[in-house]
Amino acid sequence: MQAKYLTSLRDVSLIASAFLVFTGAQAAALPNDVFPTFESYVKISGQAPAITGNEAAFQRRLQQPQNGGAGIEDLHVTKDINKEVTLDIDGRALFGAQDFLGKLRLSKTEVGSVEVGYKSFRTFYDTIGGFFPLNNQWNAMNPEALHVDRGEFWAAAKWALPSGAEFEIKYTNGFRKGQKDNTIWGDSDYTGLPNNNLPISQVRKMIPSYRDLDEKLKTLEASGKYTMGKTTLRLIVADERTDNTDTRYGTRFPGEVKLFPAPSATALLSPANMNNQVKYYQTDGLTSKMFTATAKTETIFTEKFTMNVGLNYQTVDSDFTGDRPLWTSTPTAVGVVIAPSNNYLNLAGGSEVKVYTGNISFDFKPVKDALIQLALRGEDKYTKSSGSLTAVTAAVNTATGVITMTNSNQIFSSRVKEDSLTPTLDLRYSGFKDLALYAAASVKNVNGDERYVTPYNPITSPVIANGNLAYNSTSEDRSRFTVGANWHTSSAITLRGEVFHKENTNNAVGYIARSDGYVDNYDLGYKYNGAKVTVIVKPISTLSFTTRYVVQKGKATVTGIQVTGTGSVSSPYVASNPESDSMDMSNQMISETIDWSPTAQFYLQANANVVFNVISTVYPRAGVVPAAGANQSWDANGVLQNSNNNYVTASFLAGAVLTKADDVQFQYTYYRADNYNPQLANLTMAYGAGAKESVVTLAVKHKFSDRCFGRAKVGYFDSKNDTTGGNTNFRGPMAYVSMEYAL
Amino acid sequence: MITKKHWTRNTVIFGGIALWGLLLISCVTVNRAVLAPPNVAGAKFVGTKECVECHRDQVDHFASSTHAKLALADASVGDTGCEACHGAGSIHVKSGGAKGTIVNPRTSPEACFACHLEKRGEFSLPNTHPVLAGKVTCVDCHDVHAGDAIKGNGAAMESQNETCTKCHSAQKGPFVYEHGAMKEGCVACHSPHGSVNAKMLVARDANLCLRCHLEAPTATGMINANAVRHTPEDHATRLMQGTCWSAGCHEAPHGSNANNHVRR
Repeated sequence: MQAKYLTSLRDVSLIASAFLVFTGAQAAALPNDVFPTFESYVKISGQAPAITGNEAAFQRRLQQPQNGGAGIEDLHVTKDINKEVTLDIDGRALFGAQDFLGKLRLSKTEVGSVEVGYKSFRTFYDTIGGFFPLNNQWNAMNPEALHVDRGEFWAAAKWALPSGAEFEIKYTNGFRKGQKDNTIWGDSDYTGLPNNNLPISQVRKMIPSYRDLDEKLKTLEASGKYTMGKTTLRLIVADERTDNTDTRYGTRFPGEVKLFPAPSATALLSPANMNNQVKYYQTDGLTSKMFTATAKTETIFTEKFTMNVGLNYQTVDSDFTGDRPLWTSTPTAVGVVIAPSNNYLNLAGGSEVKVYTGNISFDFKPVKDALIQLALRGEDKYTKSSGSLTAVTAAVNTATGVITMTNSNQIFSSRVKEDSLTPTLDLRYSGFKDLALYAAASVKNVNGDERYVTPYNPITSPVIANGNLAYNSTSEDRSRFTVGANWHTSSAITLRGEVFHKENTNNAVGYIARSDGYVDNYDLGYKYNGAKVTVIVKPISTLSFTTRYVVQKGKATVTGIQVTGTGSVSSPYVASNPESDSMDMSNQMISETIDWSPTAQFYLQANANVVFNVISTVYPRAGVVPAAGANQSWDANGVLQNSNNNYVTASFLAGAVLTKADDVQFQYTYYRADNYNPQLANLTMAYGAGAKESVVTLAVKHKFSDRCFGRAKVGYFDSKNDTTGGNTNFRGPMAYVSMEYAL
Repeated sequence: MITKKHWTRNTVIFGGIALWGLLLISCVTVNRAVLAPPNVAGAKFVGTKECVECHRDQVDHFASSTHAKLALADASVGDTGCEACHGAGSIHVKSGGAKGTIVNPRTSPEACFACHLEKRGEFSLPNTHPVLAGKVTCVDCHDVHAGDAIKGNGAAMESQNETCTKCHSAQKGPFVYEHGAMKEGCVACHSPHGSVNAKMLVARDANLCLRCHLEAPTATGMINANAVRHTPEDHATRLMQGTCWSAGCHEAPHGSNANNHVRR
């Protein structure tokens, strides 16, 4: 049986090889009489899925409305008003997907253009929380299906004067409005884990939350360009206004309230009585004005030597507001009382930022095929912020249920000064036959001073307490080095390779020894090494294999030294917390694309990606926590596991001519991630992504006339999600039709 | 099970032969072509000199771009010519720049995927910017015609985060207490091309934060997460419950206007 199977495969291979050679020779001789591109056209389309399963998950994954939609998918009109003036109109109005575009552009040859437009589109989200596998707990929010609309109106004009000067002005008024999911999940005791087993918690944070966005962004930008002799000057001024009000809604311990009076032991309590429900929302408001002025010059001294100089000045003046009311269900002798508190009542304040930036670069071509680019960037940034809030606590008298509110008015501030210098060097040489070489180096050095005052009550604490005041001296060194080559070894093989190294060292030192003796030192260092290799093989002109391998490995260390003592002989500095490995990471991506067009009537594109990505911390090497008192021993290694982010994707696209008036296209996509391990749930949340998805479509394009095309597509999708315990699975067919008509 | 194997094998063999037959027939009977994306039908290479007429700014500064490092050694295109990415330009030139006559990465990522294969896979993931849906394009974030393709790299005037904050203005700040991670760049925690994790996070669990905040334990079993004040802080019980940024914990990972532990 096996031999017969192999024989059949051999026969098929022989036929395929013969066909390959035949078609490879034929391809160049065939005409390119394909479906033409219309200069002006309208395309009307509609689509409808039939979903079984979680409709919200379908919308988020496919970014399509579950009820389908229809409208004008694309409209383009080009009309010459006269010999010099052209009018272009673009439009789109897809209802359901809520995808809209209207653009009008009037352009005059060698003078300029005027353009106005509006566009918006909808992004779909689903409000999922965590699935807990030990008791199959799943908390869905109602509604699950959310969306955010993003759009902007713009108006722009360009002028080009006979003198060579060019001016441009553009106004944009954008928005982002709607609701989206959030990964800040609330707590729940409904986990099936044993109570009162501290320090092993039965609580898991898996209750979904969402954010309500109302964001506006307006920009007005004007720019000019003028050439004087060998120098071209560009000036850009921009004013940007932000007005955001974002609110996050969440619940902690939904449906739970403790018993009154509290029992002496909680081991046998129901999850419904382990904690108290807290409902809250948090509002963050931000209005800001940003002004930016930029000047750039480019001076071409000779063909071999060019200099670029840039200067930038930026100011930001922002005001923030906020609030976070909480309603806590509190058990009392007279029943459950809802205690209202607010950690950040009337939060208000502002920030001022000033940034000065300059850069200069020299491009030098000592010989025809070589380029040396030396550049330097410097920046000076100063940020000053302050604010106030009222912390409102609610004390409940458990005997009477009476709530006593206490307000504490607090103030806080920060000042951060930072300057940086970044020299870079870029080398390129392509003087060798079929070989291009390049190298780049960049070293950034940052120094700064910080002063932080955390919220305190100036009435009760006229002098800022040590715990509320911190001074830091910071420094950063960031270096990046790259070396690469592109080698066209023959007409059939091209090789590209690049190696890189990135290294950062961040240091923050609390530089004023406080009266309580604390001086902090925080060192973060990390190094990454990696390579990218691309191999392009074209055995014949109609077939190519492109292989790409990207690898990156990194390591981070943290040294957190708390120095106690005053530095005196009697009280010397004592350091703790030596350097510790905080991260090891490895990322390997292997990609392959095959392009094959054996004849003018057929093409095939196949792509596959296999990714191995793991991030690990020093754990799991934490060790076993010894038993102490009533606490049993337990293995801390189970709390922090490696983050595995492995996946496989594949896509296959094939198109062919069916008849004189019909083309057919087949497409298949596949995604698989297998990082979900429900066994982790005993000691943590099992967050790993585990999913399997397939989408297959078959499309036919038909030419009704020289001015009219039609396209019909049917497909089937299937999505299974292990991470959500199958609660967001969906599958089903979909259909799409469109008509494109020349105007 | 055996029956299923036979069905699969026979389908591959005979279905494949039928497909080849169909294509052979169409080759013989239909004198028409179909093109794989992102090619331009019927166009021929014309050379960069034609592009300069209308796109001087792009051509003049291309030598400084990341992509100029690569000599795309295709004899018909020339080293790093415009048509290496934009496809053959004869129809575009002849029509005076008509829409749909040139490969435009501003409307389709296919031209970029030709070399950046792995990005096609990343944009296929469940958590990504809607590039394949056509709502965001590669050039919204990358400048391919001048300077570093990754904006803000090296000695560029703008900062790298501006690429992200021009849309995500709520994360831009300024904040009274900025999270130091913002200095590392948004990409320190997010994979903008796509991720298996929600919000395009590099890691969905606490390892995301502990890469920079995990200090040496001072007792067996301690998960000593810290950054501000280096007294030993055992987070073992809290990390059992969820991530660092779960409800009630460090909820403001981009920066806070009220709490230096980014708890709001």
